[in-house]
Amino acid sequence: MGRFGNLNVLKELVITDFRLKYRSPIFGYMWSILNPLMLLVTLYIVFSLIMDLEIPNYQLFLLIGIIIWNFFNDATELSLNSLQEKGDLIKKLNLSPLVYLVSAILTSLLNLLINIILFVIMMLIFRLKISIFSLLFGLAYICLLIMCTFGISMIITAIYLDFKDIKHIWTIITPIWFWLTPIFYSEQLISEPLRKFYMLNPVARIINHSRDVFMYNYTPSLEQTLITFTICLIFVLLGAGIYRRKHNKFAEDL
Amino acid sequence: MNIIKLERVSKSFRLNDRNPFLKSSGKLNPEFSVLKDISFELGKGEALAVLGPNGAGKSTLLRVISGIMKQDEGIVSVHGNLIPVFDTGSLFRFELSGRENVYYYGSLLGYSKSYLNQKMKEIIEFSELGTFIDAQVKKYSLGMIARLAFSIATVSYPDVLIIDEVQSVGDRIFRQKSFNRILSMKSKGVTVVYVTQSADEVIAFADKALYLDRGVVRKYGEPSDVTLYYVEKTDAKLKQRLDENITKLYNRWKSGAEIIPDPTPEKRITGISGLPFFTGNNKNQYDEPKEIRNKLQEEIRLLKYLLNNDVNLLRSMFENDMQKTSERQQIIDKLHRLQDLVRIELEICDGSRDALLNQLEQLKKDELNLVMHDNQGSFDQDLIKIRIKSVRDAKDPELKSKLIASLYGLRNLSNIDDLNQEEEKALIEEYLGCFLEDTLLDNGFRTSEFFRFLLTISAFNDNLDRACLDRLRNSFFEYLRKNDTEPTEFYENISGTQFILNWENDNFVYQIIGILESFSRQQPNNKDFLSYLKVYSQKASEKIKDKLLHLSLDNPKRNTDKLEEYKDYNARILKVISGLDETRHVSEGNVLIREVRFLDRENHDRSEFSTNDYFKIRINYFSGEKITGPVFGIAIYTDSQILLTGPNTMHHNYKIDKIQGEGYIDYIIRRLPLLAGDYFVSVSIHDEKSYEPYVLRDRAYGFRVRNKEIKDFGKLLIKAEWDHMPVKG
Repeated sequence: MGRFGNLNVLKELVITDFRLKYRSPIFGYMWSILNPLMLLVTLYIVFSLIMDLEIPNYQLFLLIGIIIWNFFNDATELSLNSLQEKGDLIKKLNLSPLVYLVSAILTSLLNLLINIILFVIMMLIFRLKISIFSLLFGLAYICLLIMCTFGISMIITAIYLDFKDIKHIWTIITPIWFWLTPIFYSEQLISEPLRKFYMLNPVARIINHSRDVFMYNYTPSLEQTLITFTICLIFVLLGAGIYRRKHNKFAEDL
Repeated sequence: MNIIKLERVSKSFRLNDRNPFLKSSGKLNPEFSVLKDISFELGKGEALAVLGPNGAGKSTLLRVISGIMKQDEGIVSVHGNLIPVFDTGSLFRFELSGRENVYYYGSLLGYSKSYLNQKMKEIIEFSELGTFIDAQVKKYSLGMIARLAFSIATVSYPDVLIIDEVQSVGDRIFRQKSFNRILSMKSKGVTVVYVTQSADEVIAFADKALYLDRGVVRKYGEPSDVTLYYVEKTDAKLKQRLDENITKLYNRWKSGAEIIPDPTPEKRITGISGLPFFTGNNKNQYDEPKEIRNKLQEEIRLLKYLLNNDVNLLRSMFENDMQKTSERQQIIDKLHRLQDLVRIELEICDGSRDALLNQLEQLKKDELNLVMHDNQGSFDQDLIKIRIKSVRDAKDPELKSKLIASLYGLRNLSNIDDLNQEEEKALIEEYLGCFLEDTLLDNGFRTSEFFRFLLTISAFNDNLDRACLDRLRNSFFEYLRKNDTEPTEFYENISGTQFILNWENDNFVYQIIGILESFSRQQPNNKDFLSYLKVYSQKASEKIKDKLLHLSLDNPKRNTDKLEEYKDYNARILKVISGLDETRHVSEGNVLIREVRFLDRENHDRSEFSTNDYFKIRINYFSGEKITGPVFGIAIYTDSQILLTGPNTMHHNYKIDKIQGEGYIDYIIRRLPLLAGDYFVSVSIHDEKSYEPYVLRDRAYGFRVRNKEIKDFGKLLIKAEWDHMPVKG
C-alpha cells in the first residue's frame, strides 16, 4: 500500500541525510571518512600496544568484526530513528514507509563501504593478499548481512508501532548482542555445547566467514554458508511478514 | 469514468498509544470511529470541497483517499497518480536551501531530477522567492515556506490533487495565486479534493461538496446546498442575516424594484452572507419566500460560479490567446439564461482602456447585457454611457439616486456628450430632489461630506440651475438649523469614489470660488459650516495663488488674460476669507479692521498709482476694548508673493498710547519706489508684548502701480548712479 516511488526518492533521501549529517564548517564531508578512520586507527593502536591476545593480526581480526557490527548496529538503530524523524513524511506523503527503511539501510551501507575501503587499505599495508575470490565472497557476505539486517529492522519497526518502548529496549539489547558476538574474542573461547547456539547469531556467522576469507584465505564450507543463508532468510521472511501486517498502520500509529 | 470513488468507507482508530500488556487498555483507549460509511464519486476535472467542524475527520478522509491511511471497511478507488498537499513545509529539510529542497521535496512527490530541472524556473517564479531560493529554508518566513511548498506540489498536472487547507494559508496575494492555480489545474483535467473552512472557497471551485461532522456525511451534493447547510450550522448570526436579506430583497422585488448586484469586491466573493443577487422577472410566479429562496439558491450557484471564475474564465473569454470555445460557450449560455433574470454588474479592476473596449465589443457580439465598471473611478466614455443607461433604466428611486451620485463622482463629467444638457439638468434636479428628500433629510449626512458634495456637483456643471442650487443650499441650512449636532450617518457612494474636487481644473476652481462667495454671503451661523467654508476658502486661495505664481514665473507677457483672471479670482477669494474673519470678529467683538484704503496726496481713494507718487495706506480700525501700546503692521507683497517690505510701528519707534473705539492710522510713502505691477497688502494689529495679532489680514488688499516713463525692470526703484571709467592701456 502506498507507492514505492522511484529510485530518485531513495537517492535524494540517502544523499540528503548523508550531506546533512556530515555537513560541518571546517572539515565538511571529510568527517565521513575521518570518523571511521579515527576509530579504526585508535583501535589499531590500542590493541597493538596493549592487548596481546593469542590471535595473530589481532588488529585485522578486530576490525572486521567492528566494521560489520557497526553496520548492523547503525542500520537497525537508524531504522528506528528514522521512523521518528521521518514521521511527518510518513503521515503526509503517500510513500510506503518501506522507502524510509530502505534509505536508512542504504545510508548505513554507505558508511560500511567507506569502512571497507579503509579496511582494504589497511590490508594492503599489512601486505595481506586480496584475491578477486575473496572480494567476491566478501560481496556475498555483505548481501547476507544486508538481508538479515533488513529483516531485523522490519521486525523492530513493526514492533515500534505498537510498542514505542522498543526504541529504548533496543539500545539495551544491542550492547548485549555485541558482547555475545565474538568481535573482541574468538568463538573458540566458548565451550562446545553452548557454542552452537552462540553461532546461530547471524552477525557472528558473517563475521566469522569474512575473517576466514580475508585473513586466513579459507573458504567456509557450503554447509556453513547455507546455514547462515537460512538464518538470514528466516529473518527476512519474518520481517516481511510482520511488516505486511502492520504497514497500513504506520501513518496512524506513529 | 470516475477518477475517485469511495464506497461505504469507514475507519476507526485508537486515540492513544496502546500498552499491549494492560488488559484494561481496551477500555481506557477505546476505538474511535473517525469515518463512518462515506461514499462519493468524482470525475475528471471535478473538485470536491470537504467542509466540517474541527475533528470531523476531514484530514483523515483525505489521507484515506491518498492512500496514506487504509480504511477499515469499504472501497477506495483512485485512478491515476495522486499528489497530496498536506502541509506547507514541515517536509522540508531546514538546513538545505530552497533550491535543494525543491529537489528533495520534489523527488518525494515522485518527480524526476530532470523534470525538476526543467520546471525549476517556473517553481521559483510562482513562489516569488527570487534570490531567496538559495538561502537556507530555516531563514524563511512561514509564508515563504508555504509558497514554495505549494509551488512545488502544483507544478505538474497529476491526475488527482488532494489539498488539506493549504490553499488558505498565507497572505491574500498568495491565496489568490493558489486559487488561480487550482482553477487552472482543474481546467486541465486535474481532479481536486480539498478541505476548506470558508464558504467562499467552496463556491469558488467546487463541483461537489461534502459536509462532514464527527465522521458522518451530513450533506453531500451541490456546493450551494452544502454551503448553505454549513453556514446555517456554523454561524447563527450569518443565518439570521441571510434570512433577513432574503426577506428584504423579496419585498423589494415584489414592489417592483430592480436590484443590481453589489459590486464591492468583498461582498461579491462572500456571496452567501451578502446575498447580493436576486432574480426579478417572473414575479408573479413566486409568492412564497421559500420558493424564492430555492430559486435563489440555484441562482447563487450560477452567479457565484460566474463571478468567482470571472477572474480566469471570463477574462480568458475575452483574451484571445486563451480561448477555450466549449467553456466560453458554457459561460455565455449561463449568462444568457441569467440576464433575463438579473442585471449583472461586473467589476473589472485593472482593464486598460483598450482592453475594456475590446471586452465591450465582445459583449455586444454575444448579445449580453452586462454592465461593467471600473472601481478606480477613471471611467471611459463608453462605460459612462453604460452607466447612464443603467441610471435611466433604474426604477428604484433610492437606487437611482445612488447611481446619479456615483456619476457625479467622476472627473470628466463635462465630457459626456451622450446626455444633452437638458437631460443632464433634469437628471441632476431629479437627483437633488431624491437626494434631499430621501437621503439627506432621512438619513442625515456628515456636514463635511455634504459640503464637498455641494462644491462638487455645482462645480461640475456650468449649466446647473442656480435656483436649484439655491434651493439645495437653503434646504441644507434649514436642516442644519434644525439639527444642532453633526449627523452621524454616513453616506456611501456606490462606486466608492469620493466627491472629488478637481483643483487642477481652472474652471472648477472658479466655480468653487463663486460658490464659496455665495455661501459666505449667506452669513451662516452654524460653526461647522463656517469652519468648512474657511477650510475650502483657504484651499481655494492657496490654489489660485499657486496658479498665479506659476503663471507669472513662466512668461507673464504671454498669458496676460489668464493672469488677469487669476488675479481677479484671487482677490475675490481673499475677500471671502477676510469676510469670514470679520464675521468671526463681529461675534467675538474684539479688534477689527474696518477698512483699508489707498489714498493719494489729496486723500482720494485710488487703486492705481504711478511710480514716485505720493502713496498712503489708511487703516480704519475699531477696537471694542481699550488696548494699550498697540502695534500696527503692514506687509507689501508683489503679485508673485515676494515680501517687499514689512514695516510696523514698533520697529519704527512710533509709539501709540492706546486705542479704543474707532480710529485710523496712515502709512505714508512720499515717493512710491515701486515699479509697475500688482501688489498685495497685509495689515495687522497686535500687542507690543506678544506676537499674537489681534487681527491679521493677510494679503487681503491690493493696489496696482503703473508708470509711463520709467522703463526699469523689476519691482523696486532704487535711487542709484552710474560711474564709468575706462582702464588705460
